[in-house]
Amino acid sequence: MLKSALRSIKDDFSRALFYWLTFVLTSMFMFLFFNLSYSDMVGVTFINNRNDMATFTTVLVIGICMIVIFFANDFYVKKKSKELAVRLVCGGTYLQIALYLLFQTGILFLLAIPFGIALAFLCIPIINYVLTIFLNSQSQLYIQWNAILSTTIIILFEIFWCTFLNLGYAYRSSIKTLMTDEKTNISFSIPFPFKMSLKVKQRIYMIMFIGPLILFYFNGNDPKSILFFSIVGMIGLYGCIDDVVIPVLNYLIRDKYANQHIKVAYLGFLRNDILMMKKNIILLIVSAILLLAILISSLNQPMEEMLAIISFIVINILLSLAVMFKLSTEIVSRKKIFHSIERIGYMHQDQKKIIKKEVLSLYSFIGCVSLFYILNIFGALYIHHLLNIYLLMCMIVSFVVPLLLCGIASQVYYQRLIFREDL
Amino acid sequence: MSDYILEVKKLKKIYGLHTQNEFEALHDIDFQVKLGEFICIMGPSGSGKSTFINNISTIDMPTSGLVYINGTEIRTMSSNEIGKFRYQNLGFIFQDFNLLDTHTVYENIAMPLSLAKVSSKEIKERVQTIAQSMNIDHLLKKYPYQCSGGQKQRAAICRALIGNPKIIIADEPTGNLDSVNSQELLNILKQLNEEQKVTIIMVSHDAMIASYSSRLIYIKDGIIEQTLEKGQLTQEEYFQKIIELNSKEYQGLLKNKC
Repeated sequence: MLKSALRSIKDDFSRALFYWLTFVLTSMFMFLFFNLSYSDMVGVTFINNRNDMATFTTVLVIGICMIVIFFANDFYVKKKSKELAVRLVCGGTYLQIALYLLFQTGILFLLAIPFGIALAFLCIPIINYVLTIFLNSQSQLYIQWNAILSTTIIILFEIFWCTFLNLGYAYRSSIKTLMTDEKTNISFSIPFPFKMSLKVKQRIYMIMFIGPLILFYFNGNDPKSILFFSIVGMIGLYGCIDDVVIPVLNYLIRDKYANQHIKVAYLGFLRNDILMMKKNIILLIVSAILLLAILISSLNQPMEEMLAIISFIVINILLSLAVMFKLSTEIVSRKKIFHSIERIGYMHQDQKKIIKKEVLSLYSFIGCVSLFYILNIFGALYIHHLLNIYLLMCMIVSFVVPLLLCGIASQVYYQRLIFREDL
Repeated sequence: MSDYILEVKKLKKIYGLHTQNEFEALHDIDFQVKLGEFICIMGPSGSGKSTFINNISTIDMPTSGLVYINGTEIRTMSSNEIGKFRYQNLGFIFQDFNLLDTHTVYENIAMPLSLAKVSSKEIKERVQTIAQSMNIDHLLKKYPYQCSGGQKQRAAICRALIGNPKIIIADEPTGNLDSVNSQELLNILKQLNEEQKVTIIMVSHDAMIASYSSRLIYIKDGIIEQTLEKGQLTQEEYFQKIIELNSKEYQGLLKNKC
């Protein structure tokens, strides 16, 4: 079992590398967070905790880390569905399948955790430097050994959780479904209690999305107001994607660009990606807003302020990774689609353009929609003198750069998957 | 100018060329198709039917030999020309439909017209007309995963036909359909062939389906082993001949085993 798990990792090296890298990053971030939170300066104990805001921030970051591992696991396992089907056909039991997957994630985890912790060790002097220089704090961060234990426990829990989910996926899916990697498209939407025309819905959602942005400028100094307005805004955004963005894309594909074959193809893919990424976009914006609210609440408390800023950076990195993994999981099923469009008459050059434009449009959409909201909140905070311009710039960069890097990685992976036979 | 819409000379396909696993799937095949013919390609599994159909339809490139479609030798075309040639001359129907789940049925059908840069207005009209003729106009806004197998295959036929191709290539088109939908598909193909003189080249395992063709090519171990012409035979007589041909092959296999 161990041997075949190792062989499977070797055979699917590029995916295993991505998965391993996720373990490295998440264990690094978790370790850093536990160190920060357990430090005397913050004082999170989780039992009779002394600091609600820091506990909340830590739990939020750990939660996001777990979500990212879940996405990475999904990305890693989905391509193994055929392999699992073959094992089941050959008489393998579900227990054997579970062990087989557990061995693989276990091996990658064991290889990742020393790197993650080593990277975190290297980050600690940087954090101390930032604390001293930028926040004028005399406090210093030291290694908390129980942070290693907490990180390990959390990730181990995550591995077992993912293995059971994978097992559930294999158990619920028929062998044929696993073999053909068929996906069931289930769309879920909350129906309105009464009938409403699309135009009315569009207007309501647009008002819900844009309205809070104006209110931020009036109540931008109150974290609770920011959170409340953001919730309304996010409901508006969720509706806007379904009832504004998708109809616009439909119009572009069927009418405006109907005779432009590249646009017809990539806009169709983009429409599918946006629907699939809807929750990720909301999560990305909500997390950023939550952390901004925490940041405002913890102003004048250097360590907590630091915790919020680092959380903001870390969460942006992790959620950008989550976007990348979700897209990569979708890309796996695209090989057949590209094969089909080639048969219709799309050339290789066309296909390359389609990939490039799809990835660029998707990441631009995610970036623009998120920044549209976040920049307005930043603007409101700046007007109320809650954040200085340098910090704002740093936070914007920390939001844009991970998304940009993930976009480039998605582009490379997509091209390789479609045009290289061995992947 | 040749009388043939498709002409194949000394077609050879070798997989894994210059490797240890070199395998010659097709051996110097000569083959011609006249405009308006309905050809069925039969043969045992692994005989090279799909390889053959892929190599004569620009999906794959032969290792050696010549393939002329409508007078143009496919290997002299650049990849750009092949793409253009494909949507102008060929329509494909496959067992697994090959529809794009990311696009609606309407968008799937319209795709060859987008490639041909037909105006949006004309695309709309042509999609609507062809969808109505196949009785799937009520499905145009749906995605392929929301349709049944028969509906998907009809959408695939619409897509194959919308560009008015000269040749339709169908690889096991009834493979995923029930008997009613299979029968319906064959009637559509037959009608297209008889009324619009569309040339059809179809791969099938099924003798009943093969009996709709005007000529049957039996491929075995990478060569054309036999050819059957329908000629003046009734469909039933032709069907009997196909059955006999197949049973002879199986009897031969049993004798070899004994």
